[in-house]
Amino acid sequence: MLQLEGVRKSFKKNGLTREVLCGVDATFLPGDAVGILGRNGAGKSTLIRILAGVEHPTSGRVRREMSISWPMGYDAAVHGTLSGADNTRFIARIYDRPTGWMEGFVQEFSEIGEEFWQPVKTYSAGMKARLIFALSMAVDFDCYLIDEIIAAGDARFAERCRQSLLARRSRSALILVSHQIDTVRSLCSHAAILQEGRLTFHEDLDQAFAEYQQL
Amino acid sequence: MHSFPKEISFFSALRARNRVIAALMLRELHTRFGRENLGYVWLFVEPALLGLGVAAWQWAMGGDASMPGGLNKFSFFLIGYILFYLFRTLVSRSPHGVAANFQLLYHSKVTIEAVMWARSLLDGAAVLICIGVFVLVIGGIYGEWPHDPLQMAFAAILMMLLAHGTGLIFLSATAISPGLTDRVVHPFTYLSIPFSGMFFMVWWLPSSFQEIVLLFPLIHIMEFMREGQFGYGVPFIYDLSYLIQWVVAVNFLGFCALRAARPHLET
Repeated sequence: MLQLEGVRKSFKKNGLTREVLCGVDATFLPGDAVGILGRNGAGKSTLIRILAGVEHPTSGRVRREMSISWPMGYDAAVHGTLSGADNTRFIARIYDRPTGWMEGFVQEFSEIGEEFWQPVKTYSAGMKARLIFALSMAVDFDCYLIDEIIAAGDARFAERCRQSLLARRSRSALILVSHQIDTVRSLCSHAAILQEGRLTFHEDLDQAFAEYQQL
Repeated sequence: MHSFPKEISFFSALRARNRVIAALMLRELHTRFGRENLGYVWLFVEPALLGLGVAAWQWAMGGDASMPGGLNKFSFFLIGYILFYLFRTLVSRSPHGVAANFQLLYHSKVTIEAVMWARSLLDGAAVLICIGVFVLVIGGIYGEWPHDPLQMAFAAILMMLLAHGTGLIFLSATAISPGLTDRVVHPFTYLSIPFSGMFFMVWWLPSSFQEIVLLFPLIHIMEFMREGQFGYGVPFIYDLSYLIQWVVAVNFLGFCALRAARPHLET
């Protein structure tokens, strides 16, 4: 279970305090596939970073009772000067997975080939996205946080990501943040709208989409 | 159908944390030492350059190798410098602890505490090795071997812990007011040089000055180190319990400061 209770987050810039999240309550259970829709600047990225534990709320509580992936869609999960293999071994060590097995799995799943032993900063955007996705599949999280992953990489790999995520929907939770209705429709069973710092849940996808389009 | 993970026990949480710290240390070794760059060579080059300077000075002064009390000049400055280096490097890099490692914080298992521990332990280990190497060099050249190597190692560990706690305080202060701390940390490390005992011993000073410098914890570590290094030829003035109180207090303050700063930590 991943639970937010009255989460608020504000940032100070040039002496002005801007409240991005103003009291978000939410509970995510294994098997949930929730799409969070929001316009640019609605606080989607802040929300997903708080879910991931990258940032801490200004007030409120986050309870994490399942393993949670890093937010996918950023390059940040890997280190540029280390090779794909070094990054894989590091991630295997922190999440307590066998390093040899994980290297094999990631190399095969990401289809990177010989460049697996080259520094990540030499990778193309698509290769990097494939590496990061393969790493997250190898760790086998209880909950996946996704920030527009499908945009990176070629169409064939995007389809493979979608299939892999759908295949584990019965055991893992999926939280997808997007401003596109189509992405949410293809992966999620319900949706929530983030607007003015508050999160509203909708059981029915079409109802959520209709409301989102009115914003 | 779905089972929630059981409440994890204190010891398995501790094991998990140690695993993360060990992985972070290995990674830091890779990024700093790298496959091709030689980051740690600088750790030896810096004090070795100082050693050359001391040698030149000694030559210019007429070749006398001894200090007040008959202590070896090389040994005195080299080890003193390396010990202070540990404090300086940990403290002066601490304000950037978050910015330099923000990628790591994307892994929910990795906390800023673990990142800072990994760095302190790695630099502590590197400095211990460096001290060991120079002790062998000095022993080889002058035939002077340390009185108590374990006491020297213990002094380096105390220095690591003191710098770790101080670093946490600076890291937290940076998160709360970024511009200010960045400017304060460098003067702080420079101003602590005269109070570190890097260039002098307490018994050289008049007793009124002794009281003042002994208020600062760095000098206690330096004297403790020198006792392990030289033995009982000259008076070594320190108070181990006073020093340990400082180490505990600074680490406790650092821990509290980091908790308070957590909502402000940004990447």
